[in-house]
Amino acid sequence: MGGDATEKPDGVAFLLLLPTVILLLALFVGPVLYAFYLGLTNIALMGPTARNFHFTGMINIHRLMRDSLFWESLKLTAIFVAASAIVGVTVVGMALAVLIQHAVAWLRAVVGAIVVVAWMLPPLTAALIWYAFSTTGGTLSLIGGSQLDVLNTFPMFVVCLANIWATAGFSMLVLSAGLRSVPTEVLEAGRMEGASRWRVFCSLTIPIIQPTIVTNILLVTLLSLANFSLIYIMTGGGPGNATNILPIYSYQQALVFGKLGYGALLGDVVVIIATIFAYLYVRVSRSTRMAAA
Amino acid sequence: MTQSIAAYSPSSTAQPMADVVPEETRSASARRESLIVNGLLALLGILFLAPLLWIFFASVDVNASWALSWPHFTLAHFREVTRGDFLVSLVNTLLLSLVASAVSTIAAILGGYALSRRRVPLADGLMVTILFLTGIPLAIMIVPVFQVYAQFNLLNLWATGVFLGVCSLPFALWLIKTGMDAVPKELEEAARMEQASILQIILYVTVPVALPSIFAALIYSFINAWGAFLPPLVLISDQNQITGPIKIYGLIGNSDVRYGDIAAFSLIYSLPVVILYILMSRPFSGGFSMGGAVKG
Repeated sequence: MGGDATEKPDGVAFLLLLPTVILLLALFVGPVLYAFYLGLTNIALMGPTARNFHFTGMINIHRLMRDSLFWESLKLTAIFVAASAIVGVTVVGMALAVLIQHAVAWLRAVVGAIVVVAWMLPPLTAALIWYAFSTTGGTLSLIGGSQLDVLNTFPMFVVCLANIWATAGFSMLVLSAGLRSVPTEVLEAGRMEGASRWRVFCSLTIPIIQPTIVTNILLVTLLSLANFSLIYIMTGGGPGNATNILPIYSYQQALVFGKLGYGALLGDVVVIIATIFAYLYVRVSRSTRMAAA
Repeated sequence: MTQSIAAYSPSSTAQPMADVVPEETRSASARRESLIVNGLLALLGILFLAPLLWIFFASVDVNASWALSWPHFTLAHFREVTRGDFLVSLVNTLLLSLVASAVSTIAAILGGYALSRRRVPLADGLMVTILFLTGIPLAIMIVPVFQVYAQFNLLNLWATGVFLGVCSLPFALWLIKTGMDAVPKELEEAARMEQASILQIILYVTVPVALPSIFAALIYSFINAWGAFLPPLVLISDQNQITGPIKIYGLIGNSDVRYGDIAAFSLIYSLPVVILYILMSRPFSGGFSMGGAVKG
């Protein structure tokens, strides 16, 4: 991987890597480490502790443990990620991938294009579209009665749907690639034995593409975990705190209430959770490549 | 994200399953199955299309509102949002994305070359770390960056562009390094015989051959910065430098919402992403699919 092993370590490589290393240290690793430090300080957006902040030890952490909103927010984050990413996006993405594999060509092209466009749209546009779709007087209230405010009545449900809508295209692409790698002979053999299509899918297709499914779930989880814009634009975390997932709660504490230190600590929690999933992803993708080699 | 884009192409999908079973023996049930499959897919397609309709209708409707209604046709919204501060915010978005993609692509070409061709201590570990970094939602870590930028008076478009470039850098590096690994080393040997300098070799030999992966990294970084919401919201303090998404977000919050303008502007703002995405899905094949995780 590291080039010609017979070559000596050289200064040229060092120079070429320098911009990358400086940028990553200054604006990636640096901020992450700094955030862990800031999370343990009393730094504020304005006022005397904006500049003269200091390390306060475990005070923020104690506060976090007693902050019922934090626990609520953690729960909402788990619900959002589990319902929309792990279940919703994966199931809808799989349904699309399977159906597209068997449908007629023109329908395949049209539906594939719509779903992929939904995935590639900038987060703001997706959020705006779903706001218009679900707010009072929006498209959904045309169907369900003019005063129906779906977004306000079932906020978590709607933002989950919006996230599924905006991410299923990604899942579909990943899983389609997986499905294409399944050897047709295996499925044929299964059908010859008299198994139903559903049986063949459950006991042959799924086990064969299991690594792809796991990778897909990890990626979609990471995508949804960091999804600030979609929910923030649609609900701002509300109504009340009904959709106040951790990235939004962190932003609120830091930049709305001005508690930069506590907001940073909340951001740290997101990064720690993401770290676990990213670690699993690296493990999975490396072991898959080993198996392939 | 990208691996799968390339893998997806409607024409190359595997043979329909119906062909597996001898046609004549099960034609009736096969026809019923195909009806169910196509029907279900059409239904899903309609469900995915339904939310999208509003933005197209409202953008050309004189009486646009949040409601979906058949438009009384006008192009006034499009005229309105292609001038003045609408146009400025689009230019700002373009500048931001150009800075971000330049930063990440140039650094990734140099770094990717070193990792692919030169002897770098712990290169394997470095690559794993980089793959790992692609999963960390840096865009959420806005507090420390805000704190540092505020301290050094950097709350502007350019510095925000650099930050967004770094957000995309790990994935860009991964793409380009993997792309360069596929370039035959013999090409460079010949250039080295001719006494070419290392930068000349990179620029005239490696880059042209690894162009698809470089192109993919460039577009990836560009799209990410173009869609970024939280970083420009927090890190750009000058009202004259705000980007498209922040502009639209401000309009939604307005007391008298100009629905038609919002819809028209969002369409114009989204169009480049769709075009670039189509461009990117062509040349690129291989690499890793983690990249989408930087979306913030």
